[in-house]
Amino acid sequence: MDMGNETILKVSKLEVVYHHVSTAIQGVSFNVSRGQIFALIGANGAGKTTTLRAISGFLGSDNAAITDGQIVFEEKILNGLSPHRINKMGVALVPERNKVFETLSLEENLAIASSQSRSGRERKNGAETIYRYFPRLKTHKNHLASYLSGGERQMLAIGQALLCDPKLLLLDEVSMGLAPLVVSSLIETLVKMKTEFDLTILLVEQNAATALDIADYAAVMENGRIVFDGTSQKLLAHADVREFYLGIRETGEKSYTDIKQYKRTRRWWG
Amino acid sequence: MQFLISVIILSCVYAMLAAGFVVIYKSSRILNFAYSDMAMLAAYLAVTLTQLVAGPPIIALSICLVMGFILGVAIYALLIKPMAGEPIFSTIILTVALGIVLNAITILGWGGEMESIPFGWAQYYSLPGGVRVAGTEFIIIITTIIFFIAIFTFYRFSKIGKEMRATAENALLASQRSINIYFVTAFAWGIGFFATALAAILIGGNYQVSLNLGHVSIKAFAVALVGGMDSVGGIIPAAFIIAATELVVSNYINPRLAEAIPFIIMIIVLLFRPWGLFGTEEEIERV
Amino acid sequence: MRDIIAKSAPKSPYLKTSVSNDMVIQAFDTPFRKKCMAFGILIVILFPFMASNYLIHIANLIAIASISAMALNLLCGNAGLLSLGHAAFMALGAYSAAIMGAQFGMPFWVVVPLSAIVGGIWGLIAGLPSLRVKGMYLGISTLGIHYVIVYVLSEYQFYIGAGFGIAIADPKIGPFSLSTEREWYWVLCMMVLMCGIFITNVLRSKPGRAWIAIHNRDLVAEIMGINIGYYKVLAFVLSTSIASMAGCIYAFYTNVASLTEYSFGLTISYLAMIIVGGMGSVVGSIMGAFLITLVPFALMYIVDMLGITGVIKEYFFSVQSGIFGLIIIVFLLVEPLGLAEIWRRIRDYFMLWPFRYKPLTITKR
Repeated sequence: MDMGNETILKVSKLEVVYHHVSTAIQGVSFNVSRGQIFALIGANGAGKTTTLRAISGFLGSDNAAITDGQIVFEEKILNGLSPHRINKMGVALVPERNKVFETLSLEENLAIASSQSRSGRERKNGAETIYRYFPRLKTHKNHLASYLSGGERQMLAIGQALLCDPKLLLLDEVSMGLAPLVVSSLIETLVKMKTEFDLTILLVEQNAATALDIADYAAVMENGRIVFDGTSQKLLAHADVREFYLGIRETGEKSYTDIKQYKRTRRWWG
Repeated sequence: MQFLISVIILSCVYAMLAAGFVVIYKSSRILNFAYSDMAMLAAYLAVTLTQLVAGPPIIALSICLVMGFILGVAIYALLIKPMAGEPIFSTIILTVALGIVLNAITILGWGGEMESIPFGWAQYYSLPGGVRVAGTEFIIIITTIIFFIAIFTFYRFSKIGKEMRATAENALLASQRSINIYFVTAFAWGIGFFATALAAILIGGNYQVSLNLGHVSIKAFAVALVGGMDSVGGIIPAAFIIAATELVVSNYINPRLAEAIPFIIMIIVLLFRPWGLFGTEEEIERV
Repeated sequence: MRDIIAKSAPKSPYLKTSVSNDMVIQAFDTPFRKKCMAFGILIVILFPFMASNYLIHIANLIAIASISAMALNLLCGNAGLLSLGHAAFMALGAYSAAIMGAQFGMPFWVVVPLSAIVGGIWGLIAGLPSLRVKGMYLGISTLGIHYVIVYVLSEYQFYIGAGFGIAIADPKIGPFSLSTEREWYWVLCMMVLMCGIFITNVLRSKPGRAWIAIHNRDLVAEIMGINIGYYKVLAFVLSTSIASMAGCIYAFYTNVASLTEYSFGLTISYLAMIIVGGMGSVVGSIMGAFLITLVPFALMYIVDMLGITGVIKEYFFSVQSGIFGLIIIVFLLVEPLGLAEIWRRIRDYFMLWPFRYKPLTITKR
């Protein structure tokens, strides 16, 4: 598992409970190495977003709490810190929903993200860098963010997150709701950015194919637990992952006319 | 013409009162029901400060304003922030209770008598057209103008102003972008109470400081609502409309009906355009 | 496992095994509770014979406040519609008593239902904005209605030349006249009981379920097929009718209808009652009414007992309201769900022991 690089993020036995009653994730443990692209795949409700939110911090008003386990980022414990502290330490989240400030213009969105750590000139350079990667954003510089299309919003959100100078970038469902062409161009740009900005990426995706395409290492989550992990080659070869997350059936194509109750249990072992 | 001046002055008073209210609402979505009691307390405080502090009244009044700011920050830190996850209803009742406590403090401390705040400029000026304006009334108009210009530029151009708008829209995202939302919101509350104190001083200097100050402040709700609860810009036209209608009714129809006019206008606006004249439509869905 | 559940079923409010079990009002569903209720009823019946008239008077005030608090709780706690105009609806009831009872001489048992109708009509008007606005904005519109009603009533009072209020004679039901505290006590207890049962039943039936849905997510409720406009206005109408009746009874009890009593401050008191007591809970309304009504009397008693003089005694009213405000603040910071929640927690602790958590139930937020 260890690629010979240092571990930048270590999550151990994490448990998150919502509203004091619903356990969203339990016993989640994984390590992310510096420079890695780590993917978390799984179906809806598996707890992937919760994991990311736990790493990036909860506000008191969320009714969510980390009840067990630890998150260690670069030797520092992240449990219980507020999101802005965590952000300053170098972790940036691109959320699934509500990812940009809609009442602010595009430029203001970028300015806000970079305003914490830079001077005026640096801020401008930062924005220029983002425009270099996402030229489409430049045309909408002064428009309100609420007028942007889905793909542009995603680009803006990623740009914003990058301007926070992160060492670890958390991406939640980057491909959600976007056309396949847009997704592939985004992913390409992401990989380029990773090299230029020296990032580690933790990626959550329902689209397992896209995720496993660029990830070095991945873990599968189901019902709030990690059930399987390994390098992306290992996952791509594993029968259960192929069946349930990539849609490639063992027994070949089956016709809809002779579908019966098809119950194949997952065999995460072996 | 004199009538027009009265309308302008009353509009300025209403606008200043509504400003404190809107700033707090814009940042925390809370109806600050402690408002009128806060205004009263600030006014009485100003009276005492002008008596205690030597030198031109402006020093004492500035101290009062600073105290207002600090009180706003304190109230946020002690009462509002702990209630972060609770339904907004509870927090509103909290502000009501706070208002009651402030009211009690005011009465206990100052005995509910009528006082006035000396500005040191008790002169009347005669303008062309047979209009008479008091020096203190000038101060109201000028202060209002300066304040609103300052607040506009603040919100649109300053770093903290942008952070306030971002936090108001999506606190979680703001926090995830390194904005210290607690600091920003506390600052907003400080400014809100600063504006309240300022409004109270203006009223106190011009008319008198008494228990009735509270009643006048309740009209600030109506003004804020008509203009749009999340719109600082909407305050000015709303204040003007309400002030004008109220004075017209008061002079020509029935003084007691004039008391209810701000509320009648408010109800009409609520029925046809609930988000106010200049508010954003999504605002009421957010409630 | 099944037989463990079956054995504990009659005793537990969470594990019901039959519909009839579920429909029993919670106070009577286990033998232990039945005994407690019998004890409680005994106390209520014996109370007026053992206490002074002053104490009975306080109890009467608590009773009237309970009825009004239950009405407000229905609207704010169950249906989730913020209403800041409660005092005005009580004023309507009081003035119905004054106008219909004193001026037109109608009998008590006719005036009370009529006051409910008057309250209901104004409730219909007050409820209309709820079709368009929500939350705080609705609260502000009800506040506006409050001022409008107060204005109308004050104009009327001015017009008939009664400066401070209209005097009302003691009500007569047939040959009996309600004049002493004790006589009122029985009547009021009955009314609180009837009101409580009525509201509990409404909450357990179709409107009650609709209100739960609307309170939680009215958009989803609408999609599910619930006519949210109808139920929202229904909540208003029911609430204001009962509040109006409470005001009417209050006017008859105190023999005067005076507008100064029905200020925004009174609405705040009632909101405090339901918050301190527990929103959405009938029992909570009564507990809240009990506590909040008692505060001024308790304070007065303490001040007298300790012989405090000086500025505190002079400005007693302000001290009282100051402490009142502080109580609310403390309650909200410490237990936002009120006394009913504290009660529930104590009860759950004993009920569930040795388990710690109850199965997921609908939270009444």
